[in-house]
Parts: sequence; structure tokens; C-alpha cells
Amino acid sequence: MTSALLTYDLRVLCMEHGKLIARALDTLADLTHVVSLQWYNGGWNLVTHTPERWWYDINAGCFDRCVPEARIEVEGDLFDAGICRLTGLDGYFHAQLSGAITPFGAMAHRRECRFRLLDGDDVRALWHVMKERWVLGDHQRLAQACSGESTIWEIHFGRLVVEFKDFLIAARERQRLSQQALLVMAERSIHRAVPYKPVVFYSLTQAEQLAELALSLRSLVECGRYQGNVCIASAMPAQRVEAFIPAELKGRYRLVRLSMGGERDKAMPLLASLVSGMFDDYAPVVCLKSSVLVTRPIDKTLRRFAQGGSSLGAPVEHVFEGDDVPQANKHGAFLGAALPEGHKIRYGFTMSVVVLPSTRQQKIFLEEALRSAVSYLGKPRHPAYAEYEAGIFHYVAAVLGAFDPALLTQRDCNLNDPAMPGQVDGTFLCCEEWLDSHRTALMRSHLESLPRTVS
Amino acid sequence: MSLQVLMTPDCQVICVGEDGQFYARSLNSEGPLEGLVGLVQQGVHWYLRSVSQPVRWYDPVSKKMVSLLPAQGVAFDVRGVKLNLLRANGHYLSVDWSGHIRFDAKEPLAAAVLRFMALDELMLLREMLAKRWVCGPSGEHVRIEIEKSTVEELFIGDIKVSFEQFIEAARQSQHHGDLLLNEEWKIWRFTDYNPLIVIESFGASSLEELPIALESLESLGQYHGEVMVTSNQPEGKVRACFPPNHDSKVIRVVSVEDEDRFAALRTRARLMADPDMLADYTPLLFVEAGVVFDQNIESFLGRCALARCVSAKGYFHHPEFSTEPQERDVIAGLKAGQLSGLMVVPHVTLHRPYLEKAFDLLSLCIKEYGENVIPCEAQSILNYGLRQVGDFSPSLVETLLHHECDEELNPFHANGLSGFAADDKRHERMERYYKNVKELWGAGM
Repeated sequence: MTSALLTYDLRVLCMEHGKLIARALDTLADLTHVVSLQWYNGGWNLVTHTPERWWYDINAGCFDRCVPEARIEVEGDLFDAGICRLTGLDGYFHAQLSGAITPFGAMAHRRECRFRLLDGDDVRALWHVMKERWVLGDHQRLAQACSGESTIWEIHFGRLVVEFKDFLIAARERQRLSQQALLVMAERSIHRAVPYKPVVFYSLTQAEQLAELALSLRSLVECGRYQGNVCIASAMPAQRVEAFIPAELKGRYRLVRLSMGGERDKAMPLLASLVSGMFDDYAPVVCLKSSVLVTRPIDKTLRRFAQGGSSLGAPVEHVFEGDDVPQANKHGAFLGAALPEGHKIRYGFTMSVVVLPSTRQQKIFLEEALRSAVSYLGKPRHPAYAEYEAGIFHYVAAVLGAFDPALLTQRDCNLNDPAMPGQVDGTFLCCEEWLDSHRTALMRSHLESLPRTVS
Repeated sequence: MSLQVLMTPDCQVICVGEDGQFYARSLNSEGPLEGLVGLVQQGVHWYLRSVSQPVRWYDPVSKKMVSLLPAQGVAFDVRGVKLNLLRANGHYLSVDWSGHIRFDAKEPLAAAVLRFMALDELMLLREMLAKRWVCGPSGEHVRIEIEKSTVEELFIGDIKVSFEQFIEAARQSQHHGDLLLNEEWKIWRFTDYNPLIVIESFGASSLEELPIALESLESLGQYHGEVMVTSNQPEGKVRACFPPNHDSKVIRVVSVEDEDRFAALRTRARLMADPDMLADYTPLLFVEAGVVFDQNIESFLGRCALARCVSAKGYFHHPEFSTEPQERDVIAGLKAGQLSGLMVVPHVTLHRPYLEKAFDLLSLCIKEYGENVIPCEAQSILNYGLRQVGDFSPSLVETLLHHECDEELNPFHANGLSGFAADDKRHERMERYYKNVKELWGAGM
């Protein structure tokens, strides 16, 4: 039996520079140096799982390649509660705040001398959960398991206090089912938490979009107070694109090269990037056209997007009485797509903002949409293929039941009204103008009128 | 290349009879494919042999199946990906109109092109053929039309897809449940359709209601699929409620000893927790015995199979946290019965983790708060739990419901499923309503 050991404050015992040390789980890049308690040759020892096995020698106080003579004594019911105390020659092992583990005689009653034994798979499940930030419950509060208050008896997870065993069950189930969400039983109810690591993605196909990108990124930083990562895919040289990225985003952006000669990138650069797997660690993924401005702090909106589950969102407009429905629905009608009742889509506007709570969860949708797009848009009879990407997107989402009109509502997304710059309600303002120069001027005028919030 | 079985141009497989003659056998035939013949490579030569033990080999010289590896093998001419013409001893294999197969053609015949398939592909194809399917998003019922299909293309409903694509999609469907097929840019989503209706008959009075529910399900609901009755009444009495001339394979009874008011939900939780009991059914419809099926229900069940979430009536309760004030009003205004126990589960295996959490919450609430604070309809706690874990949508079942308010139900408004408030006269009202709807049907409605 091999098991890892957690200290009372949820640090895991590791080997570091030959010494035994406790490290917070969320700070570990991998679990290579985590040590296990192992029964060997009639006694308990601490040992690493590195290719060269290192054994902890309690006499020397460091790890050695040889199996030591002196053994560790384990007190407690390992197989039930999993809480134990470890003793060596000089008394009970004791976890100090610095991370050092030292034997000390008179400390037996203190919590610093308690350890929890965990199976290797459980440690891995817990490590994955602790590394991530989460959005919890109906109020979209941020939560993290390693809050400094958590212990091996109870986990402080946002506003929840969860019994350790319940939290471990949730982490284990998540790992087993390869699901995104963490379902925690706590305080006499169930709570759903989803990972939160947002990314905003732009795909640029023309050099003219660079000026718009600069304005859009400025709005993201200044008005949106965005703290997450940005990814920009383009066919242009990286240095040229970098010149348009605000300094505030330094270290938080990533440039991806689009190959406009390739069938997939050319047909649908947005979908080709999403399906590539490069966003699988992010949630949510928000794809913006370079002509979109962010008008207000964006964090709460992103947290709501992260909770979208397996559906995805793109702006649709509610159909009001008297609207020209057949005209408005022509993308859908053209491709045979059935939009949710009472909704319509509009050229340009529709793909300005696309929200995917998680590309990993929507893998099937993305692959099918890309396959359909390549098959349809690759035909020479459609030279203006970009005009149809919205139709394909909605069509595939409707067939697969993946589209949720409530995820991105009218409150999130506005089409600009050139007559009234600054009069916007939505978090995203889509500046649609046919002429590039007009569009950039319009964006600039909107951006200047948008309020900046003090951080 | 592993052993390859041979599919004839009209999508049958080549088998060998006891008389040693080859014949084509339909893939739709029931039971194991006895006498199935496959092509296998030994050294540099190819041979035809029986798939099952004891192995017998085809000898092209004597034109018989022999027990020793023959001196001469067979050869094939490639006509496409996995499409080949088979020849032996200078003659091509031909398939005549009566299904007889012989190596007697001197020229290659386009009508004798065979598809080579690995054995696991054939098994997968048979598994898919045995299933019924619904096509999204409307829930139209379709089947794989093997009779219309060829070795190159397969029909599912009116949709034509290449054989390779179908096999690949069938493999993928085993991971996520959906069969996704492309026809150029068009996408089709199919889901396996094998419904089960679970009628919960708890309490002695339910035995007066159960016969009406079962009869209406067959006559007005036009449902002839499987039914499970869960009950805490003696099995003999439950069976006595079955309609005359019923098919005993179609209706099953699950008896439990539980007597309290949570017995039905507890039984449901136990059924769900069993990994095998309900795993093959898509979708599952749970209803109490106090209902009348008043319209064809198959189309509704088709849409259920395609749904992404568990569906039930949209009311929620938790003794402590709950809910909006208006939701509390809904709970307070509920009469017992009235389809409150109605629940649709599109696919048990996919939704089990969420359902288990919701049932855990119900047990926890009973334990923590006692039975008295649980509302008469404990389903509301399940709904609350499912909503919390993001696996709940009321919209599907709301398209079906027609439940009693203060007045008797109007048969003109029959919508699929009608519920009646629970009291000692419920079965009388159910019977009256059932007769009214039947009369309307008889009048040509």
C-alpha cells in the first residue's frame, strides 16, 4: 500500500533538495516529488516515486538511496478516517509553517502533528481541483479550495465549508467521469462549481483589422478591467500584431499563426482555432470580432458564461411583432436550421461575440461544425464564404441541441447605433459598419465616451 | 489484415450451409450468424474459411469445405476501399437472384463486388441494425434501411451515408450516445430509441387506477413498448390489473416492501443506482398510476430521447435554501398527484451522476429535517437538486401535460398525458375521462 501524506493545513509531503518538506498542493507543477508512506520489509518508510527511489532516513533527517534501518511508527486508524501521527526516534513529526517537517517530543496533542493519508489517485484528483479557480452556485462567486483556512478535516471552498471526505468524493467523481463541473454536497445541499480560467480570442484575417484590434483591446483593459488571458490568431507577422497590443496585457497574451493557405483556416479561422484544442484548459472562451468594444467590467459576465455547461451562446435577437421574420432568419432558413422560437439572427452581428463555456465539453459540436463548414464553404460556388459562417454555426448548434439563447442575451450584447454614441446597455458593443475607415472612427468615438471604472 | 467477413452487394453476409454450399444471409436475421465465412491470410495466400470452430476451409479445386488447409487459395481484384471482386481457380464469385453464391463467372461482374469487413465491424453493424432510432431535432422515428442499402452506401431513414462514415460514427456513438452523420455539409443527429415507461403504483388505492393507466397507454397512447410497474402491493394483485391479452414480456413488475410516502422515489433511486437494470433504455418516463394517456405518446418519447437534460414539472423546493417566493407559492398550491412524480430521463448512463446527487440530497433532507418538512410532493426536492447541478429543464414535459384544476378535464384538450389530484375518487374521474376521450376518438376526432 502506498499513500501520500497531507499535513493538517493541506500541504503534501515532498522531497526537495533531499529534505522532507510540506508544500501547498496548488503550488506544485507536478506530483513527481510527492513522497509516499510505504510498508517495506516489516516497517513503514517514506519513499519517492521518482525513477530513482529515495528513502527518508529519520536518523539523518534527509533522503537517501538506501533503505534506512530506522522505521517510522504510524499511530491512528489508517483505513478508516485516514488521520494519523508519525513518530520517529525523537518524537512526533510536526509540520512547521516554513514547510519543514521535524520530529518533536511534546507536540503529540497538537494539530500540526496530524497527517491525512491519501491514495495516489485521490491526491491527483485533489491537486487538479486545488490548482483551479472555480465559479460557485447561483451567485457566481469565485471559490478556491486552498484558501489558507482549509484543513484535512474541512475545506473552505468559497463561502462553503465542506467536510473533507465529501470534497474528496466530489474531486474523485470529477476525475472519474472526466467532467468539467465539481458537484459538492455541503451544508445540506448540492452545489455546482465550474472551473474559471477565461480567455478572450480574436482571429484576424485582414491587416485593416489591426487598428480595430488596438481599440478593442484598450476597451477590454480599460473599461472591462479584464485580468485574464488573450489569444490573437492572425496570418500577419507577430511583431506587426504586437505593436497594437496595450502594455497592460504584457505577459498575458499569446499570438497564434493562422495559415491562410490551409483549407480549414481559410474556410473558418474561428472554428479551426477552437477545434485545435489550444483552449481546452480555458473556461470560458469568448471569441470577439476586432470590431467589438467592451463597455463595462467583464468579470461577472465571464463567470456566468463559465456556468453555461454544454451549451454555447452567440447573439440572437428576440423577434418583435412586425419584424420581417423571414428576412431576418434567412441564414437559418437557407441552411435548414431551426432557431429557438422567438429568435432571429442578423448578418455580421451574429458572430461578433461567440461564447463557449468550455471547448473541451463542446468538442463534438466544434468538430461537426468544422466538418460542415469545410464541406460547405470550400465549394467554389460560394466566393463570399465568410457571409455564411453564422448560418453554419447556428445550424449545427440547432441540430445538436447545443445552442442556448439565454447564455448571451440582449443585455450582454448590443449592436451599435451610430446616431447615439455612448448610449449602450450591453457589455459588448458590436460596431458594424461596411467601410473600414468609418468603423474605426465609430469605435474610437464610442471608446472615448465609455466610462472608465476605478480599479 | 485480420479475418474479413464478406458482404454481398445487397448487404447480406456470405455463410456456408451444412451441405457445403455458400449462401447469402440477411443481417436482420435473429440469432447468431451460423456458418459465417471469412477471408484470412496465411503466409502469402488468402483463404476462405468458416469463422466459427471447428475451422473448415474452402478448397477451390474440389469446391468443397475441407478440414485441412487447401493447396490453392483465393484471390481478389480491388474495386475500391474495402470493395473487391473475389476469384478462385480462374472464376469470379457471382451472386444470383436467389441468393446462391458460386465461383462460376468468367468475367468480372460489377454486381458481384463484395465489401470486406472486420468481424467487430460486422458485430457493430448488427448492433446498430437491431436498434430503433430517432432523428433530431423533431424526434422522427427512423430505422437503418439495410434492404435499400448497398455495399457503398447505407440508408438511415431517407438519409444516405457512406459505409465507412457510418461505421466510424457508430464507433463514436458508443462514447457519447449520439450517432452523428454528415451528408456533405448537412449534419444529422440520431439517438437510440428504446423507451421504458415506469408506472409507480404505491398504496392500495393505486390498484384501482393502474388498470385505467395501462389500458389508456395501450389504446389511446398507442404505446406497445416495454412497461415496468413498481409497487408495494402484492405482485399477484398488481398483475391482476394488467389489460387482458397483454404481452407478459412487455410488462414487468418490481415489488418492494417499502410503506412510507417516499417509497416510490426510493424505489426509483434504487433502480437508477443499479448499473444494469435501466442502462439499455432511452428514454425513461416515470409516472404515477393516477394518469390517463390520452394521445399517441411515441412522438413525445422520441423527443425525450433527444433531450439534453432530465425533465420534470418546473417546481423546486429545499427546506432551508429554496427558492424564489413564487416557487414556494407553487409548492404550497400543489395538490397531491397531478403528475407531480412525472420525470423524463433521456439516458440513464449519461445522467446517473447527476441523478445520484439529487437522490442523495433527498435522503439528506429527510435525515436532517425530518419527514414533516418535506412537502407532499418530494419530487420538488429532486428537481431542486437537479437544477443545482445543471441537469434540469421543465420545457419538455410541459408540452405534454394536461392536469386537473378545479373542474373536470376536458377531453377536447387531450395533450398526451392527463393527471388527476389524488383523493379516494380519483379512479372514478380517471375512468370517466378515459371513456370520454375514447368516445371522441370513436367519433373520429
